[in-house]
Amino acid sequence: MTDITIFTARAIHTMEPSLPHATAIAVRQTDDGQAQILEVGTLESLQPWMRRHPHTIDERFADKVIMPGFIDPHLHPSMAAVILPMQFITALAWDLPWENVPATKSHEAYLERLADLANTDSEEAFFTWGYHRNWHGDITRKQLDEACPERPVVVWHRSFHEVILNSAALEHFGLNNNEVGAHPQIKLEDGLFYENGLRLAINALNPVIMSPEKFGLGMQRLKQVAHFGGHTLLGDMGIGIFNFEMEWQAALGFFNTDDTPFRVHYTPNMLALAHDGDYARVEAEMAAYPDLNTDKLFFTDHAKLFTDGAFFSQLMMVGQPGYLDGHEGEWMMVPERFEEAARLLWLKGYKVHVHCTGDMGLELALDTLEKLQDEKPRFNHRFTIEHFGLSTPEQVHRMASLGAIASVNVYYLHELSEIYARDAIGEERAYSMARLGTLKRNCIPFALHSDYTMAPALPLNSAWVAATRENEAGKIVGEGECVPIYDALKAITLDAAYVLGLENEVGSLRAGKRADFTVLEQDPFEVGAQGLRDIPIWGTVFNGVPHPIEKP
Amino acid sequence: MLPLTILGGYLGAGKTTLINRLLAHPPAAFTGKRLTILVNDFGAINIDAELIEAHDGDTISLANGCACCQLQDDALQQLQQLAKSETRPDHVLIEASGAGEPARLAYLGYGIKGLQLAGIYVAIDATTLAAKRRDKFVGGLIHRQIAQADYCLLTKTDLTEDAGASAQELLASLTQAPIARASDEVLADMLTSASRSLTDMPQMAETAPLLADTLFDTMSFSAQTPLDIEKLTALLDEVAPKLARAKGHTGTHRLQLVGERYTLLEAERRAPELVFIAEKGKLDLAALTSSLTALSE
Repeated sequence: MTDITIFTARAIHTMEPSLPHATAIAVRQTDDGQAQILEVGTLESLQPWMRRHPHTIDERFADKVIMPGFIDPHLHPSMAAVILPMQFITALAWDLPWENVPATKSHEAYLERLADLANTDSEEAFFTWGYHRNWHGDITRKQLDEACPERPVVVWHRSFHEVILNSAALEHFGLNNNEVGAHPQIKLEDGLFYENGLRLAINALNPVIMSPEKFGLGMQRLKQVAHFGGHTLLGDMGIGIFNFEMEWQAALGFFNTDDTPFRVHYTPNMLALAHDGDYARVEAEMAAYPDLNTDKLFFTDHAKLFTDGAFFSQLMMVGQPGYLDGHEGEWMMVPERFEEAARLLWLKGYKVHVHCTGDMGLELALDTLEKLQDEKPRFNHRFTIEHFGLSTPEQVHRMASLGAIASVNVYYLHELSEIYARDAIGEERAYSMARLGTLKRNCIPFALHSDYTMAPALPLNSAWVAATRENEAGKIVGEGECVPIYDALKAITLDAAYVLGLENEVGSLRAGKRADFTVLEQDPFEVGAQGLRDIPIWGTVFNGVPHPIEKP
Repeated sequence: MLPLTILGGYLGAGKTTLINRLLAHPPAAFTGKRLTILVNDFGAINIDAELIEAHDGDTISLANGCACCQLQDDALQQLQQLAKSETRPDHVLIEASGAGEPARLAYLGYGIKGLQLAGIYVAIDATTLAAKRRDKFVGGLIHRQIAQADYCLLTKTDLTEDAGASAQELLASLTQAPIARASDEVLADMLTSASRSLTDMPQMAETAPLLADTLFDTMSFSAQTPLDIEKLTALLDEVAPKLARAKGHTGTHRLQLVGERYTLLEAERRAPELVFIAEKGKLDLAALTSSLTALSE
């Protein structure tokens, strides 16, 4: 048996109601190499352990604050690995481990920043992500040519649904020809590719963005991003999105290493894996995935399904009176197929996570859950509404009746409430996105997630949005849906663990749980809701071992 | 050019049944030619084992020259490979996802050299149309799929109490595209119909090419002087039940006929030009031409 380490701190917030605050925490390695919390309390209360066993007292956190390790229960490492090698030029500021990306909010500022960054001696194509028409206006090939005449420039839209190329890039990737020009979803004179036209561009760009060098750089960067946000556990909410084998091999290569200070829980994306519609075959494969588990990367009994389309692309299914312009959203899975897959998983006892963005998407998930509860009642089933963009209070009440829980992308509210009030669904509904207050009033556990890169993978930033509901325009919107600081923090720790079914091993600090902490320079309960996002993170303790965040 | 036909329609509309029939019994007009079908749900394809020549993962090859493959996530690349393949087929049919809009697949076809869109067919279940179009989840989608059809295929009419009559009437109120009961002739047409012009996209219904083929009889009429509107009305009352579609200018009025109902709206005077479409063999269009000629005095 190894020695006990006792970390002391200015404050330890355990997220355990019976002992919410402490100043010392004892940790010991178990025989299987896992660091376990022996007890939380004070140096005095830990005496019974200290009298019996050899121990060291580690005071490096004496002026810091220890929280349970942060958990992001829903992001997509393989998608992030495609985006992260690109230069961010974004409307809102993004704090990245290697760079503080400033907010670039106008057309002129966008082109100016692009010119500054792209005009170097490099001959490699310049890829940038983050362009958004609502802030940056129409960016055309001609404007890109003026900003950067020599080097190939590829501009990816924030939503990833459009790409704009300058002339050098069209030439470089062989896209400047009549065949391409004839496509109705390509405007070659503007260098713009969208929808199916985008697929044509992606086929040409893939050899670069999916190359082992770029993708590998993306995975390395994601590792930095995760640590930078203070995470000790991530949920890959949908492995199989590109190709299961490729993603798993990449995970083994980059995350299953000694220098990775976090674990990753994997939930298979049933829709992507069942590309031929054969859910039963996929379920049988899924049942065997836990055989692949390592200490750091693991499957349990979760599965991911979808109802409606992407929130950032205005493809969520919106109930009456619909969108301002009368367009309609999209089903990722139509009701019959969704029900078929959900029933299969429900009857086999899976914990089902459903991507639902609009209120009609949520309605389908709840109608289906109600049917399944009638057929085979289940308790503690963790049927989770993922994203939870639009909803009605009545639906939330129904979630409570049916035992559904939520994992929320609250950043929608921050980034999109103002634009969507104006351009998509009007103020009343836009300001009620992500109804966390109603979830709390209905006693429904909820987590916060980033769906990275849909939101920054910064849990304290998500908690700040949840507690303040301040949007990018500086307005407080839907104030009645704010939650107290405690609940916002619970949503990035204990309730995030609950959503992943891991609440017995992580998410709070108490005897028997894993020794995974996030170490803060300030106390969240002292800085108040407004201060949450600016709290500096010292680093983490993962599996009992301190991992400081390296400052650039 | 490799002709591309798209078969859309909501889940359960009978797309897979149509495809199974097509694979097992290719239409006579297609003897000796090779058809490749890309399907969404490969597992649902059900072919007599004796017809199968080879079964290789996501592809079934039949002795009659046809093949059936699982539609891949990257449909674009799959079609590109098919179009430039040395052993490229004579025709390719794609089954659109029941959740999707078939026009999107049509757009996909644009970017591919050597491929030409031959038409969008949408299968519609006669037993569920009335309920599904009002469904809170998919009503909008059903309407969009119908709106994108060049041709509507009404299926399962034998399972309705009125042999599909009310469903056909309802469908005719939703689209100006010709409506046919799904039959072997319909399948044959899907393969032999003339390719349509790319510039016709995306609003197909109004601009769909008029096909002289096995599915519909079509007739174009033109004259120098306007038609007598009273006599024309009497003639239309008589033939309307046998027509699938008619439109154009009578010289004094605009004619729109969809699903047995027609309207004549007064318009600027010009030389008459009319188009009539009837289900194959249902109406003697030569006789109709004579009757119309008699009205142009």
